[in-house]
Amino acid sequence: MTMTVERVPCAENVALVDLVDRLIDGGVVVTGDVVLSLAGVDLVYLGLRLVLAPAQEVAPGLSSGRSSR
Amino acid sequence: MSAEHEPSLRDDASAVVHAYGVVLGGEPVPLPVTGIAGAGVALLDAGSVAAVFSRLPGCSYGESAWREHAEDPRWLAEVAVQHQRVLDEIVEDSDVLPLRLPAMFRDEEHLHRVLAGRAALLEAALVATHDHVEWGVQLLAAEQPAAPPQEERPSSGREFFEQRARRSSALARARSRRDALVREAYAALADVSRQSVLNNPQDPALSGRSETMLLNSAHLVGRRHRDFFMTTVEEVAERLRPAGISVEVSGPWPPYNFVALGTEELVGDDDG
Repeated sequence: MTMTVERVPCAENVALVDLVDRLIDGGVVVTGDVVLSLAGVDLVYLGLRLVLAPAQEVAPGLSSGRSSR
Repeated sequence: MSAEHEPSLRDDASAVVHAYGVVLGGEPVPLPVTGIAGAGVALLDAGSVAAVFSRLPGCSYGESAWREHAEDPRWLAEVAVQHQRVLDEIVEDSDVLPLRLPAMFRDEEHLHRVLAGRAALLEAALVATHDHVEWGVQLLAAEQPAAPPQEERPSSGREFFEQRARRSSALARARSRRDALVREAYAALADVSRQSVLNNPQDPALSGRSETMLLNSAHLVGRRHRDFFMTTVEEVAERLRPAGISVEVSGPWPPYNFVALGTEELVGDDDG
């Protein structure tokens, strides 16, 4: 996966961080059945953590020196 | 629904069902008009509880789509934000248990079966948080506690070490004063909440903020105590301002932090 993320969909990164915080640690799970394997669900959780990773490139936005590629 | 109904999600040409949250059954709940990808939003009643759901194209939101995008932050963020937008609207007026992602089901019948099998637990969680919403509170410090100004240039090694000890103990005192302020703030907020939880402060590298997060808490607050809670937040902010600490509130959230229903209770392997 490339980390060339220009923009996360939510206009406010801060709110997105708060949401991902909650989706990773809170809420109700009723989907743990055969539809998506547990391994698949785990990947989604990993992916949700990655949602936050672009924020450091998107939010301050100005320090291009920090972007890793 | 497609004419040839295929029970497996592997047939991604058909529709899948995405559930946003669970509400009490048999009661009218105002719903947003559209959900993920502009799909309509509806209620599926399963007795004592009901799910808020959308039918989504299987090719875009089915099992293989989730698998394919599991490590795609843009796709996940988009789904998460749209999922939350639906919950945001519902929680304004109604109690709703937020579902974690991926909240995907083969079809209405599958969702109904899953709900019905867990109805008692879900109903208990709804009753436990009835008429309450979650508010998030974050305390942010723009700067670290300042070290005292430099003293005269030390004239001996011994003086150098004494100065250094004085500086570090002054810094430690400043830190512990700040910690005490944060503890008092949390206690004041917890006092006007039904329940409170402390979460780990967000990493500034992840949130993209320059401030240091001193507190990241969530509070379960009665709907009718909203103004009271906000007044307390104002008071706390007033007290913390001279110390260079700002307060941010988010909400109302559905009670993400107060539904202790983990995988153990609610995951079944009998839904195949």
